[in-house]
Amino acid sequence: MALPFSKSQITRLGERLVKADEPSDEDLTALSQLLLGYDDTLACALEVVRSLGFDPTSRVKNTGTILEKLARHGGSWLKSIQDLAGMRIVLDADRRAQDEAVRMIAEAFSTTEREPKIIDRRSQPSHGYRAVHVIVYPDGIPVEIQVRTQWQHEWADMFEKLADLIGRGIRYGEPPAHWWDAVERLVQGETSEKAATMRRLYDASYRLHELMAESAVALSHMIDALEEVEASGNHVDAAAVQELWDGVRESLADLREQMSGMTSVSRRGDLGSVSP
Amino acid sequence: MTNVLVVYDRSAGRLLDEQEFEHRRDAFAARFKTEKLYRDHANVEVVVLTAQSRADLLRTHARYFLSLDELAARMA
Repeated sequence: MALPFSKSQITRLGERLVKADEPSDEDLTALSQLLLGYDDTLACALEVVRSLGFDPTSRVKNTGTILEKLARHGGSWLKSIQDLAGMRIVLDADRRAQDEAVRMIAEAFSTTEREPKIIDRRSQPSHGYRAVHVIVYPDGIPVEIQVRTQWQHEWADMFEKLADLIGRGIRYGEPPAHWWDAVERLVQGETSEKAATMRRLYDASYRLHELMAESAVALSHMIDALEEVEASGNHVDAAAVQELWDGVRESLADLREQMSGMTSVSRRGDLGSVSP
Repeated sequence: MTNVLVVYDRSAGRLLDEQEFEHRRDAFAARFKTEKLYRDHANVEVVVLTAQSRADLLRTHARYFLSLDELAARMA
């Protein structure tokens, strides 16, 4: 099934969407039609993956995220985007099983006009994010299949939640978002002593956000190292490895507990929300 | 297959709405309609997830359906 627009039409649509302060209803409708075209292909690809014995969940990227990415990468990105249509598989298995799953998926789509592309984000992580993505091209349309181990998935889930709280830019290696503007408005008219106290509290809180993001990325490296040890079959003290896994489990749970008491940066603006 | 429309507030970490549809096209129609409602709310994510079962959805996209406390408890 072909997409309802040519590549040049998609490029122009992307450029209009990124230029407009407020996308027009006409362009949003055109984007909807494009997404429906992707969804038809995705539905067929989902059946192929299910027939291999996997339990994927599929989704077409939401409009808000598409607009966010267009703003980041430029309008022409719309025609070359590889994850408009995607699915996710979470394996209750180790890295060897992940490799095998990737091989099976790539083989199942190897007869299409374009060869599947494998992006191994275990060896080339994206700011802590690790998984293997297989881009397949049924009908010439890209569909991204994310293959994650349970640990890679737990980490990605946690990091996504953290990004929602301290700024989505951390997913791209950017520092956490600031919210000083919101606090500053409340500080105006206060004594300079009180304003300085607020600033100190703010700086300390912000530093905690930075440390949380750094800890999360460090945790991803630990998960990667442990998964590699398991997959390699190298003789390492099993009890020591288990102890490290327990530490990873506790650290993930601790980060989540810490996050559950936090207010999202985008909702901050009262003095009481300065401490995270 | 189950098609679930999810409306999720990222900044509050809260599921605002969840609707199940038998047909993908119906789910998509609801998605586009809901996206219009939340057009001025950048923190609200509207997405349709398709899977064989709810258990599969929970496995791959738990962050929409479980609170941070529930996710933390799952790891304990």
